[in-house]
Amino acid sequence: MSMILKSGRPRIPRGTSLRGRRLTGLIAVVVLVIVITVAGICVGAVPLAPAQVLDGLAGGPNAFIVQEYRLPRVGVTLLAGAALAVSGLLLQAAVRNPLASPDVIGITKGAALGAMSATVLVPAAAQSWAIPLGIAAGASVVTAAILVLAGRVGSRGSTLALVGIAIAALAGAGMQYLMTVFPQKSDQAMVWLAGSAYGTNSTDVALLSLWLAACLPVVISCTRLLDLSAFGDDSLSSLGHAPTRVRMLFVITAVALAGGAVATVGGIGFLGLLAPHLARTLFGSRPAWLVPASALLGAALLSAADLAGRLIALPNEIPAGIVAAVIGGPYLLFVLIREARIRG
Amino acid sequence: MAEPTHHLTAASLAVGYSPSRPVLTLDDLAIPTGRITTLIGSNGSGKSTLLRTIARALDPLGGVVSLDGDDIAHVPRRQLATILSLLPQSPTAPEGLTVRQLCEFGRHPHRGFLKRSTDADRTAVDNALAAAHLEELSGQRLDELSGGQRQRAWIAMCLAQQTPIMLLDEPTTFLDIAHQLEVLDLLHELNRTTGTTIVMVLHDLNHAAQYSDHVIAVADGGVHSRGRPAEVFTTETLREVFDVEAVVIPHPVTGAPLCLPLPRASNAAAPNAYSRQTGASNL
Repeated sequence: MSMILKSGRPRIPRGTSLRGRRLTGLIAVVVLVIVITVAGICVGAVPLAPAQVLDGLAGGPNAFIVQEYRLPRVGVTLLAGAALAVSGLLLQAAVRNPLASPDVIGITKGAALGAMSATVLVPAAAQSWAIPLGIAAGASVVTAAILVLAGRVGSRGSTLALVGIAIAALAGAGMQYLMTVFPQKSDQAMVWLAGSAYGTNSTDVALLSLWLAACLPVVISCTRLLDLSAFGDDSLSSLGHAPTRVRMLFVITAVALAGGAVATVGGIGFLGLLAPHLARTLFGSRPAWLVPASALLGAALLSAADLAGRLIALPNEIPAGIVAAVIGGPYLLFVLIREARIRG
Repeated sequence: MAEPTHHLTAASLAVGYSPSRPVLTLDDLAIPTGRITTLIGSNGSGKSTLLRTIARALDPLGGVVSLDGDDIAHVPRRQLATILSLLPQSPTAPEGLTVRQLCEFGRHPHRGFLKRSTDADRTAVDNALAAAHLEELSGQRLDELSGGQRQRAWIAMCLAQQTPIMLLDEPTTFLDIAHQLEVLDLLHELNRTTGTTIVMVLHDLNHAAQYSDHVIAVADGGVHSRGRPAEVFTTETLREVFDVEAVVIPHPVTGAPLCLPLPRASNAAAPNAYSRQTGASNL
């Protein structure tokens, strides 16, 4: 970690060792993800030894806890964390601002508003389909609004970010309005606001896996364009791409990824900001490294946040979204202060 | 390079950023194929906007830019990028690139989806680096270079793109005189050896006069005059386009027109008249 503290750019000597060190780093992150996964399954209100977990996987006495409770929960946090991280990375490229992420730009809030509307307005029996629909509607409306408004005020990166911030504020106001009008439902609404992996089941894991697998080909296309998109608009167009279309592809992919995550774990903030930044610090900005590293770090971070939330206040739980904010807020401040100091 | 020749033309073109206020309008424009064309004009006259429109980095407010008779808006972008490249005024690159990596991006339009670089790509990059005298700096990071070296790296990227038409927006800004000439000599050599059509915006009139085959002077929202340097660089044109008084004499060595602007207040020639006049009017 000392490397992160020293500088914004990885201080790795040039040449052949660079690739080797990045590979070692990536393997270390994979090991970290595995450790967190195992810990996430073992640790909880009923602690289990790894042997008991294996036994539970095979259908032993702890099968219910392992298969129906812990495994889906870890699975969902891993997938949602990866999705939010890559979503943040694509948005940062689209708006050319390292402080963009699905929550900053309003997508998470729009999706959560849609989910919340479905929660309070649709009868309980119909909510299983109404909530995903609400999320899709909320995220799409916000995205359409961002793209149309950005087209009006010019599609430059910074305007896109400002439009997103305004829309996030509107969606936030909408959620607070719903909470005031339907105070009896505000407990459920809080989950959409803060984000939590509590109560996820194996169906959630399956649906999110399918959704992200469907997104994968587009994510690969985006990865290929990620380097190019860092060129100025004129150079990008000189190299054969329409800058507006590239940005549009990034934004739509980011929305699809974030929407899937919000549908299962609610409005987790900061992750889309934190994971890509950490990945860039550790692995540099070449997309072939950056995209997988961001996804892995996002998975590790959300999973770790969920694990921490389950442990800190036993037997109660702190939602993962709040843990992420408690870690993410200070990290963001630390990054800002350090960058201010580097620039003098 | 046996590139097919491409013709860049425009008709009833209006360029700018707001439809109600075009910066520049012109009835017709024909870029001489295989020649060096330079756009001159004062700040804000729309020469960069015109260049960006020709490059399809900006959509025209009206009219069409055509490549071999076809509207460039209908040419697939990737195909267009193999014919025409643009070096913008202050280009930005992805962080942490080396000179060679930057040049490799120039090969992007020639590569298929998910295809790795071929021997032809590597040769093109090697040649571009050699032409821009950057072989020794090829492993250096872009942000470690001097202004002149970085500008040459960007030009090398355009060279690696191997387009028969190159558009450059003020390729000599921020460079000292030696590096300015180095860049212009490089473009001139490229034009003479490969027949590459070059269109550029230049601020230095004497460089424009020296290095161009064709000059287009823009002023007051339109084309003021165009033609060979000797036809465009006249006392009248300089007065009307730039609002400066100047004498134009042939360059003693090259014979190209040489523009010598006169100090503002000294329209009368004698030095003592100059000092007397400023003393009277300004103090």
